[in-house]
This record gives sequence, structure tokens and C-alpha cells, in this order.
Amino acid sequence: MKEKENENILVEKQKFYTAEFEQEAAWLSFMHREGWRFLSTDGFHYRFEAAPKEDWCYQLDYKQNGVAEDDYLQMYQDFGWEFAGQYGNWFYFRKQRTNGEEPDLSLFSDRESKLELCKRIINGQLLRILPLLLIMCASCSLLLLGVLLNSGGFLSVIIGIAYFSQFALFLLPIGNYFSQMARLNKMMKSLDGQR
Amino acid sequence: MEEKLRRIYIPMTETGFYILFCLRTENHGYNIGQQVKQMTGGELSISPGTMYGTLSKMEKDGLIQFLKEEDKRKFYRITELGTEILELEQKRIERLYRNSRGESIGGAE
Repeated sequence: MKEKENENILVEKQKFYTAEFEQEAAWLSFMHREGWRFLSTDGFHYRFEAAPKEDWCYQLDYKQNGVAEDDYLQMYQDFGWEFAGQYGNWFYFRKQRTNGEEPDLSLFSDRESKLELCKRIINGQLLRILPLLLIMCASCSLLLLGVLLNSGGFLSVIIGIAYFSQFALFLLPIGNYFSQMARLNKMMKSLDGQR
Repeated sequence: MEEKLRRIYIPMTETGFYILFCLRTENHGYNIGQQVKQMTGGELSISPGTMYGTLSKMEKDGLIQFLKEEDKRKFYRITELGTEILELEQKRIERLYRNSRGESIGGAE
């Protein structure tokens, strides 16, 4: 879906899940080839500005502390990567593809560091989902206690409904978390298979 | 030396070996990358994410130490522990090389 703020700015709605960072990078590269340079994202909307149609390679890095220190950005810059933006723990970089350069531009040059990236993502996302898991556990036990103490009464029906509706509330993010972790584990297994 | 570190770093990844090797004198990430490219005739090229991750990990494990920051670049140098691990790894690679050429290492028959 496209929304045009003005001629030079394009906002596009897209959703990439945790394990889809490679697809996300490929899409940003595609957009740049189409003449739209990535500006920023809030996880759902991507802002682009009109730019010459050029071949830029986009890549994402994940940092557990979520902070772009000076020396971190300088290192990528030294290697020819331009810092393109940040969303949470994700850092976006781009590098222009020049003739004669290997087509496989990557922020990570060996199997081990790609595995490390996956591990960083898994650990970092666990920290993000942990509060939600704790809240769910706490409210589950509270509600269960309520049902037991009011067995048979009208109140227990209400509590029962609340009990199940909170599952619906939590199920989506938690289910999504586990499915993304499963995909990351699969990625790691296939990296391990490259030995 | 801790058994755990030995297990992690021996055998070392090719990238890890070259980075540690280049830190026998103080050095920073990009320069290490350039040096490795030159040493290997362009055969080994280390990407920034790999460089940053390896340096952070080696610093955390005490193989290298942070010396100073200049123009936003962090300079590191190998520690005693790092030297110990590097020497073990060098010996291992030397044995591998000699064996691969059909030589056998003297000693036990």
C-alpha cells in the first residue's frame, strides 16, 4: 500500500518479522534500484525519498544494547557501509555496488559470525518478550486463584471469560515470538550444515 | 589457561586467527582488515560485522585489550592470554601443515 506525502517522499506499509531480516534487506535494495532511498522505519511504515535508480546493497545488523556507539558506526563506515537508520535493536546499512565487486556483499564474512548474529537476535528478542511472559504467568495464576475461590458463582463465569480472553490478547505476540525463534533456529541449523 | 577458552578458540576460525595475529602490535578494525587482505593476496576479506563481533568477543574473553580511542576508532593489542592462545594455535597449524606435506612429527612411534 502506498501513500504519497509529496513527490519526493514515499511511505510504504510493510511488515517483516524478526527472522525475515534478509528479506527486508533485499526489499530495501530493490526499492533503491527503483529510485527510492530508505530513510526510516517504525516497524510498519517505511519512509523513502526519491533518489537516482542505483544498485545499493542493504544489510541489517542486530545489537543487543541497541546503541550505535561512535566506534561502531565508524567501523562500518571505514569498510564502506553507510549507516542508513535504526529501528529498536536493528541497524540498517547500505553500500553501493560497483562493477567488479563480488555480488555477495555482506556484513558478515564467515559462518561463525552469521551464527553469532542469529544468537544475538534470539537472546535480544527473549529479553523483549520476557516481561510479557511474566505478566501472562502472573495474571494466569491470579485468575485461576479467583476461579477456585469463587467456584460455581456468577463471578467465576466472568473470571473464566477474562481468563480466556487474556490468552487471546497474549497469544498473538507470544505465538509470533516462538514461530520466529523456530525460523531462526532453522537458519542456524542450515548454517551449521555448511561446515 | 581456562579449559573453556581453549575449547572456544582452538582450533580458531581463519578470521579469528588473522585478527589475533595482526594484534601483536596495536591496531584498529579497518586497518586489520586491510592488513589481512594484503597478507593473503586478497583471498581473505573480513566484513565489518564479523570484525566488530570478533573484536568485542575477544576483548570480553581477555585475549585482547582496548588501548585507546582515536578518531572514533578503537585500538587494541593482544594480551598475555591472547599470546598464549595464538602460540598454541600456531603450533597446531604448523603440525597440520607439516603432516599435510607428508612429514611426520618426531617422537612417539
